[in-house]
Amino acid sequence: MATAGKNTLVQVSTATGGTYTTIAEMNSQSATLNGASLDVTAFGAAWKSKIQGLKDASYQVSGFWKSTDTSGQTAVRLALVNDSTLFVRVEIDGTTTNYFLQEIKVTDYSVKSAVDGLVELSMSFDGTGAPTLST
Amino acid sequence: MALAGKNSLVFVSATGKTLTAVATTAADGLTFQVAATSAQGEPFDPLASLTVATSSGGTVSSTGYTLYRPNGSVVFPTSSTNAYTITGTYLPTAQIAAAHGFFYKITADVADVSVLGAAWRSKLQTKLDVSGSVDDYHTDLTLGNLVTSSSQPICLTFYQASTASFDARAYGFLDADAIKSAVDGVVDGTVSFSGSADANGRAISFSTRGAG
Repeated sequence: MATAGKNTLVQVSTATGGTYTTIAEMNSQSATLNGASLDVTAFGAAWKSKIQGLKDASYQVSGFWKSTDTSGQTAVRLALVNDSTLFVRVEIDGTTTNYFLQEIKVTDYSVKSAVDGLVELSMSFDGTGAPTLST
Repeated sequence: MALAGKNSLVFVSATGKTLTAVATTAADGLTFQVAATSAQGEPFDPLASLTVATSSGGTVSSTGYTLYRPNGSVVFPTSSTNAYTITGTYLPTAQIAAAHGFFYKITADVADVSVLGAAWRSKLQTKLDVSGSVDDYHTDLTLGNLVTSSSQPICLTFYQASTASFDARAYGFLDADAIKSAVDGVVDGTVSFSGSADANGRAISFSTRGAG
């Protein structure tokens, strides 16, 4: 059975074993694990052959801007501006049994406002080092 | 709860004005804040020199205070007992009346520092940057004129709900004005903004959501 996206949580912490706080007001996320396949096809082959290269991960999170989300939105922004340590944990189904956890570098923090819309926030993270995958 | 964009405001700075030996303004005498049209204070010029002196006229070393140019404030140690004066340049700001939207983004470049034997990529942050844009109707040419007339960095202030507290204030240059019109619409413009660090290495500041 499909998993409802509404239960997903994106959390951050300044320490890997620290307290993870859900980033408030988010409504969309994508977490991408990339195996970086390398083409090793040789002459004479009809089909491509590949091996895995350096694995990588990236994350996109977006939702509504909230001024008082100190441990969530502000923590992300401070990690970007101060180049400080930050970890992300994406709980796919909102439980601690299905998640990605990784140290990240925040690469984008964007705020958008329009007179006929809402104040929106989007953020991008680059994973660094190996993630912890629950499943 | 989400905020409606209709309550947002954008302010832009005008030509700098000189402050000459202006005394600290906070009740405790420990914080100087440029007070002008903005309820939260005006920014200092991003590049102009600023001199802090004691009431007796002695110049205070820059290590004797903390200067927040975007916030327009100078903060002295709580142990300080002196009265101070400030001489410098601030940028008066005014609302962009025809603005109907804005966007700003802070980005960081990361360098790949993965080493042999690693299975996953490792990264380090390198440079930070700020950029953005303001959407405005073509009835207010303030921003558009600055694109072509100003060779000095300007300051944009973004408010989300109230002018009592700005969300972000950024220094930089207005580098393009894209104007479009259609027979069934209005003349609309998008002015692009490219951030640039002040003399203290800070391109953007946030007043209410922590330092940096």
